[in-house]
Amino acid sequence: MISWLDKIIYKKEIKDNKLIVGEVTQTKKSNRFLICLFKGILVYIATYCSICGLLDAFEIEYNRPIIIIAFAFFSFYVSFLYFNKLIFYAFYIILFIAFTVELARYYMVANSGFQAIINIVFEEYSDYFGLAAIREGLETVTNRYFTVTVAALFLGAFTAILLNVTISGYMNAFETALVTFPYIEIALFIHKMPSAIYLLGLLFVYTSVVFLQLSRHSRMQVKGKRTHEFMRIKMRREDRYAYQSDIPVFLYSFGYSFIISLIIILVLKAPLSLPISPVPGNAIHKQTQEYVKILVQSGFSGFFDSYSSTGGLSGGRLGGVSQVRPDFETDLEVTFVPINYETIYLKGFTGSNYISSGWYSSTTDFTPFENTREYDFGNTAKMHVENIDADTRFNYLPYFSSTDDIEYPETSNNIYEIIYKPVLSEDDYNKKIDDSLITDEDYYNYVYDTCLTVPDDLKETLDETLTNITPSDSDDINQYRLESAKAIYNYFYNNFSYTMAPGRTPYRRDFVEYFLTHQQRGFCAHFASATTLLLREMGIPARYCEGYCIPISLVYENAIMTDDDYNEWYSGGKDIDLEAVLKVPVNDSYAHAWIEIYLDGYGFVPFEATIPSFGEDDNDLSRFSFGFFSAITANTLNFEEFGTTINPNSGNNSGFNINKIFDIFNFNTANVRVTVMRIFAIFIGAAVLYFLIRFLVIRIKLAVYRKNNDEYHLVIYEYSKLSAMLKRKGYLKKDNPLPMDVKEAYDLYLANYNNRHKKQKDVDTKALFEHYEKVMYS
Amino acid sequence: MKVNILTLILYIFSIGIISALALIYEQPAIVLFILMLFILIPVSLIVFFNVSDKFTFTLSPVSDYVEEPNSPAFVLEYKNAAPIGLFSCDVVFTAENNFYPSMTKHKMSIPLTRKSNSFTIPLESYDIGLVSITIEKFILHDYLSIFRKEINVSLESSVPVLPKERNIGDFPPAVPKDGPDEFTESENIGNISSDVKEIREYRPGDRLQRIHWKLSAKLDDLFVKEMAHTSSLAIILVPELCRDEIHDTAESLLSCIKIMYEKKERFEVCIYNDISCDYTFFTVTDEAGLLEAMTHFYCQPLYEGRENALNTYLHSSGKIATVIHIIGKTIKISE
Repeated sequence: MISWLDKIIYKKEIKDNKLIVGEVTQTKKSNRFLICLFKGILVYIATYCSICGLLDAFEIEYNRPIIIIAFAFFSFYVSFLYFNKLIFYAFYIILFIAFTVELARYYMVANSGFQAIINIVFEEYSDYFGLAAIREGLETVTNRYFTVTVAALFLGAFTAILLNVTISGYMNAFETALVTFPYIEIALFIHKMPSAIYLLGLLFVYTSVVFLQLSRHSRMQVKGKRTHEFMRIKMRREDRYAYQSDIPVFLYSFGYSFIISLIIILVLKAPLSLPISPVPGNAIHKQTQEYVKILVQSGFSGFFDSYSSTGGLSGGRLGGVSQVRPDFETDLEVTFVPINYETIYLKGFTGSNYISSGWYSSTTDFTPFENTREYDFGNTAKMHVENIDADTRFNYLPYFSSTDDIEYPETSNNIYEIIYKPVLSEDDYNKKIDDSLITDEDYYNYVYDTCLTVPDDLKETLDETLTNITPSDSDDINQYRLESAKAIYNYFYNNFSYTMAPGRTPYRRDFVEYFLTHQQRGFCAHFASATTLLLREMGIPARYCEGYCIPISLVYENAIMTDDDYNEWYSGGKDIDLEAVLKVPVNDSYAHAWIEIYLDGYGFVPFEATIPSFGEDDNDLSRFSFGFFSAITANTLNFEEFGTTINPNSGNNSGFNINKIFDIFNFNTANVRVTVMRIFAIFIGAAVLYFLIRFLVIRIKLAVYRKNNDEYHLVIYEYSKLSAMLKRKGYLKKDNPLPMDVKEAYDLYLANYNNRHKKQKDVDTKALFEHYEKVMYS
Repeated sequence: MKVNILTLILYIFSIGIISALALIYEQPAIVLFILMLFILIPVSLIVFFNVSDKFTFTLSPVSDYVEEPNSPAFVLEYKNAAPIGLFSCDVVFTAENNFYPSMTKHKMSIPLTRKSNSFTIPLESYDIGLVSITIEKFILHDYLSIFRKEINVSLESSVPVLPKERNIGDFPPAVPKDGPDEFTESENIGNISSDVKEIREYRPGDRLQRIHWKLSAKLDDLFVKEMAHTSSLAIILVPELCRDEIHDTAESLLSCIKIMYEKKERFEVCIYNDISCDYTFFTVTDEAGLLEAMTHFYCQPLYEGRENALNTYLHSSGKIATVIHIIGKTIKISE
């Protein structure tokens, strides 16, 4: 609609003044060539200096000659797209197809290289920030030199395309910096200085683009009908025109920029190399560093999913997050004496009822009774727990302890000491405890009713899973229960995998059902929940627990030896020779979920249901980057296929083989063809959708005009449509025709039409155009 | 020297943002970019001060005249006495067709990077008339467009847009023998002469215009002048500057003039000024004369009447000639 109005205003100006400033169409080809060349130089330097500056700053090795040549090719290819309209449209399509096809072919290598770069960068960041853990992206190809080069090629091509828009298209310094500076800033943020030559290159490009942008004589329009050298801009009070490109402007800009950049680099090279403290001096910098830490540790999704409110525990909430994001901040400080190599569990939450993807405490809370039981394994230990950042709703108690033995200092509820009876081996479970709780009817009902309850809609899934699990054949009931739990563990161990980023449970799907049937990967909450329900389905009372675990590895790595007297903290047998009281900081990455199995005559005992991690990646960053692409390729590509299709026919050069033709494009993999077809289908679908929406919008607007009796817009629509039809059929040749020109063309069209067809079109063009003029210009 | 406040604010804002980033994030490398922006200002200013007064400009039309449907164009040339050029200069001008006055201001940006260069200012004309362009001022900008210097000038140039020549048939037309404007048997416009061949007594049917009033008064009888049919007889083309039909009138006038001077006829064009009630004669023998006459024709004020020029000429002129009255597409011989 706006374009129609513009045309009318333009024509009104012609009608009133009979004079407008026209357009120069005398651009010399040699000039256009040189301007494309100059812009290509800028794109090349910016692309090379930003990407290679990043790689060199982190000392990542790559094939430099290939990168230099390839980047030059990309840069000049894209800059010469602006040579004229035909080249612009034809070669942009070729570029898009080539980029997509090559990315489909080399996806695994490029992704691997991309992951390699990220891993190296994260490693440096982790070192810089002193982070406890490093996120490792999965590299499917081990040859980093190769993969990084391929990844850099794709990154370079993508950057060159963007830079071509910001430099050749708009000549905008801000946008150019926005595309290139983040690469260098990744290194600069942790004070890794790239070589001066890269900074010189970027300075040169930025300065040149500033000069060229403000000169107003750097652009070269190609999208119009003709290759205009002269740009017409209709302003509110005046008409503005500009000669678009001028070669000396480029030469001047390049000269000034080079001298200025060189002087700056020479003057500042020495001060730039001075060491800088990594400790931020202000709050904004500190906060930014915190965000960077989250990014390094947990990726982008770390900003969205958070367990921080529970200090690492979900309190039985399941499936709400796509991944576990520990912040590695200390939640508890635990002082105790290590007596064996077993993991120590500090239980905070007990879930008895499984309802709608969540664990809830029993309506009748037996925990106080359980916590007052007296255990005796021939030893006594003391534990000091300081809650620093853990969820204060829970007390974190070791097995087996009694709440009667908890002592709180007067000053704080977050610090307490507890006397507990650590279990040295499973044999201790044979020492039955004969107390009132075991014989209590309510408790019996709780154990054999509540702790055996499984939602009805889950039974089928659980039974199906249990068909794959061989139950224990032990006659001893307690032994049977423990061995059954181990059988479930083994099943998970062999068929499932551990990951901290399994993804969210879909809406209206059960957490355990989805885990068992679809996900088959997860973290502790998944395994503990599933094991609990599977055990219950087998008739074994079990429940879900959350808290913190202290593995022996944590004790070895982070424990601080205290001056306390060992004898005051522990008495009894032990499997470790060390006689020391240790203080262990426990961060939220040690927040954990496990299960408890009921042993007859004894009570609930802990059982580790979670299988170990085997270096499974939680590379959500790569999924974020390539999520769209992965969704399209839908796992149709794998490296084995890729490996066999590089040169599938090498050594067999005799005879004609149609596959050889496809080999040129590496198209003989059906999956690649399917992928490419899908991409094309998406774009064709998008185009169809665009035209459909456009058609509907016009129809709706026309309906509104008709309803409002808006003759002005209706006439403009009809007139524009008629003009477009006459132009399309070649009757109207002028760029800005007046109504009289359109009338003449329409008369001619009608005359030709009536000559050719028996059916005559009888239109009073004079009256029609008088009406048009009256409505449009009055 | 003036300052572009908006650009300056934007520039300072950019420096401020980058400085803030450098300070907050303790990034010495970003200082490079601040320094770059700071250095650009003095570089730009030094060049601007030394160069901005070294330019001279001239304006001229691309051709002496333009024939429909071609459009006129003007060439703006500059010469730079300094060794370094500037990137941007705004040329503020007005352009109009004298029949359709316009107040629209145009601003054209040109680079001044060479020792001398010329730029075309293309105009698209949609009607005949005298197309003129007046450059009011040049605004020179420094490299960063922060400072500007305005040079007020008054460069003018104009070019007539002539109509297309029309086929007006057999011209000059033959004069009908029996009619109110009757000439003798072989008379046609081309042979009309102002020389008197003989004086004879008045006969009924003679035109009043031919009466020799002086002699008639002396001899107390009516005598008429019999004109000699020689090629020296003058023809006067009297076009009407009627507002509604100016395009057709100009087209007819041009067509008549071209045919006449190609046939080497002796004729004059009488162009009337409705405000001063004065008229000017142009003897056209070549293209230069044609251009002069048409330019003068375009420069006259338009009016609503259809015979203003003819009536004024007939009543005030002592010239004896055949008058061809031109209005719109009508070309007729008048008494």
